[in-house]
Amino acid sequence: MARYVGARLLQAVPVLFLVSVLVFSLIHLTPGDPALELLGPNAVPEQVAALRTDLGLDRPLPVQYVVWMGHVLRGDLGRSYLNRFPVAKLLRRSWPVTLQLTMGALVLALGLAAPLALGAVRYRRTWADQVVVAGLVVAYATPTFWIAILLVFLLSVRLGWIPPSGYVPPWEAPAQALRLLIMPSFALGLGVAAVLARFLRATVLEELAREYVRTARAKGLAERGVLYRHAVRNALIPVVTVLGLQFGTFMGGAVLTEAIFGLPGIGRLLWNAVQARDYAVVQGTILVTTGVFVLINLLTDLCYGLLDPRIRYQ
Amino acid sequence: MKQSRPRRSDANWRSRGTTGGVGKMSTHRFTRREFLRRSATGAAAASLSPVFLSRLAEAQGRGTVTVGLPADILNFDPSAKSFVTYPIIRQVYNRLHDYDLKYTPQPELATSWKIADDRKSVAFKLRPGVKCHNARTLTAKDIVAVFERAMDPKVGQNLVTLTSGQGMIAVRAPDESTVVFEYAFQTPNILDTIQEIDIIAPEAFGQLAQTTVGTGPFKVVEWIPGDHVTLARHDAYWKPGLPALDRVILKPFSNLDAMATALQTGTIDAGVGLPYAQVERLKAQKTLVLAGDNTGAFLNIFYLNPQKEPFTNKALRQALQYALDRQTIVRTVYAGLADVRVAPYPPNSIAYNPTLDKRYTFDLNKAKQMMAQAGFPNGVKFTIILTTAGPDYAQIAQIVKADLAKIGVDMTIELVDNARWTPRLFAGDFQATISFVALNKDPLTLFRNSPYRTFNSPPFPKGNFPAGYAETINAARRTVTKEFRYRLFTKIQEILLDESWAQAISSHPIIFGWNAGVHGFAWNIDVQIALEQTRKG
Repeated sequence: MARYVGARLLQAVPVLFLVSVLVFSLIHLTPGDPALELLGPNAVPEQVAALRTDLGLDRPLPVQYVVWMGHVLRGDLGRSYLNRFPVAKLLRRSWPVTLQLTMGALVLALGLAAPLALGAVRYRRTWADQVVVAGLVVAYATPTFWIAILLVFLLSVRLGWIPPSGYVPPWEAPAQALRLLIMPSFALGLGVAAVLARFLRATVLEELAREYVRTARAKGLAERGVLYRHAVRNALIPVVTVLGLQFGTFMGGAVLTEAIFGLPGIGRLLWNAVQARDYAVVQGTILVTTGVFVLINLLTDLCYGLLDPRIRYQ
Repeated sequence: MKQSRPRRSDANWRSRGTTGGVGKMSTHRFTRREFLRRSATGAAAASLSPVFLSRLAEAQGRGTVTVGLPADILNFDPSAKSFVTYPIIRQVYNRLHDYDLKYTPQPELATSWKIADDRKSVAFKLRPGVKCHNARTLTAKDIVAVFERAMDPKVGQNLVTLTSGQGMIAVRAPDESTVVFEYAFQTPNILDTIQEIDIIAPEAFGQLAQTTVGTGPFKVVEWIPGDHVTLARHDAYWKPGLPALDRVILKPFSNLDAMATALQTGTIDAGVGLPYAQVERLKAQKTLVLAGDNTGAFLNIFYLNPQKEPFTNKALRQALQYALDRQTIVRTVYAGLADVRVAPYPPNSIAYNPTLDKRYTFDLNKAKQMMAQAGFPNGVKFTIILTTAGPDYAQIAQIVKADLAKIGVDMTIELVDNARWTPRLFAGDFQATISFVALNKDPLTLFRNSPYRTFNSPPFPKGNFPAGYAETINAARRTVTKEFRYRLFTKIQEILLDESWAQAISSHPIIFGWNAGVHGFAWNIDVQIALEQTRKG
């Protein structure tokens, strides 16, 4: 298994290199100028040129890339053009926020998806199943920002139960941190819950139609045991794959969710950096996020072995 | 970055917790005497803990105000004159003097000043004993260093235009309490060139990316980019009894509607730059106070590029002046909180001439007739680029588009993000756009804005200004007689109205809102919030 993990990590190196080239090229080819963004439209050309030199933007692009990559290989992701903070420091501050948000959304997605899917399976082809399936379609089709706005309107403005925005680190005020995480987690997790529930329902139904299930029933195993001990366990591998892939959905959704709920996470950091053409922050954030995505995919693959003992890593 | 106060995660807090011996106490039987001794020690320790002291101070004192901002600050360097940095300026810095809202200079770090008869120099007497945030006493040499930095093209950024760009050639400190500014020529707006420069302790010049040292009512405690800036009371502030608050938290919102909701629900105490679309909703809440800035500091303009077809045609530009329904724009986009402008200057300006404001009225028939005279009887097509940073521009453009369609003009709206819009504006790569410019204080301020300036001009890149424009502005720069200046600015405005490349629409109000329990929420003539007198309760 160690060799397998090592090989997978080695495979990640060219992926990260390609991503670095792609992101660097795309962000530099996008129209816009960080120097003008800093100085505004009333600047004069001499001031803009001086700032561009100061930021190293007057060098040829390949030179800028080599300089940046050289720093990255030494563990230095550079400094923000806008606020001159080290990118690594900005990421260290933002990642925990996004991690809490995605974990909250994940827990909520699993917590909603599992009972809904298994309930729908248990009462398949009844009106309850149809209601659940229709509800899942609606939940999947509803945009994250719309859910967020509805939640804020209902729980904050109308009922006054939860502050509409803000972030408190959980190690400072755990209860308040949890309260502030409820709405963003729900907004981000609902769509994923719908995907997971539909997928879990379909794969469990598929498993229930297999021969081994018929055998189990013939041997007199109770329906509950057939469902939970056999069908659900075998249905989990594709569900885990889908769950791993949903990380991308979480990251995309985090941009909007963090903006609406005032969370200083990776999504908001990236959004602001793209808006201001803060090249260093965009490049560093996407590179690190890609690395995390690669790791999550690796963890997903390793989970298969836990779910199915027949799987061996070579 | 410094921490505002110890948090539970701090090493000090943890060590206090463990040396308190919770584990030992649970396994040890105490005598009554030992229990009392330990309780007294514990109470004393607790009473000395920074958290306890901070809470006690808060209970006794002035409290904290959280202010929502439309964007995060970029840094603590005021040199870029960036709007996003404005909310920090009046909290951490002072100036030699600042204007009140009636444009009357008020002493700050200087107690008095004397302008030379030839208006080529001004001497400021400094306030003695002013303490910086690092407890050092501010000196005349510090002031000289600040202005020399502002005049240095390498680091002065947009302050260069305000200082050496206005003729400032030297700053010197003849003694410990005097600073003298010298100018190359007679300067009518001599106090303006001083007012906008914020005084930073020179030892902070190298740290402005992340923190600063000023003399203002609050000092920087913590900045978490994208989340908040925490400011704490400057106890040695030179104004006795101020500031009235212990702490200010500035919180950026990347979604303005979220800021409005946070204000509505009391999550923040005040908001700066609230969205115009939420004004009516917020007004309905009795616990909130809502206000436009009322300074007339900013002007919305419909900016037509005279270097690009079809707007090389002056008569066409004039025709479009008649198609601007300024009243409807003010009423629907700005909830009535803006003022209609035809000529650029507001009524509180010395250049204001009421007759000029009647030059163009909304008249689509006249617009159509003038278009025909201009050689466009069958209408015309053009594209307007708008920055997504100002959602009000898109609303204005929709109103204009609908009116122009009635006279056969097909205006395509192209929305681009600010990072793309600014370089296009800078390079003159547009047919039309909507923007806002600053024009408060002396009327000459208007000519620092790129659509109006006479150097590096995007609308006139070859210096081919309309006849008399640059000459009249230069004359106004050298003239001090009030009546003569009024005539010169009237002439400049007549040229602007006649040439119509930058068509005034309305003032651009900044909307402030605060909870009724917050008192003394104020802003200055530059629409920078000033919280030194703000208090709660």
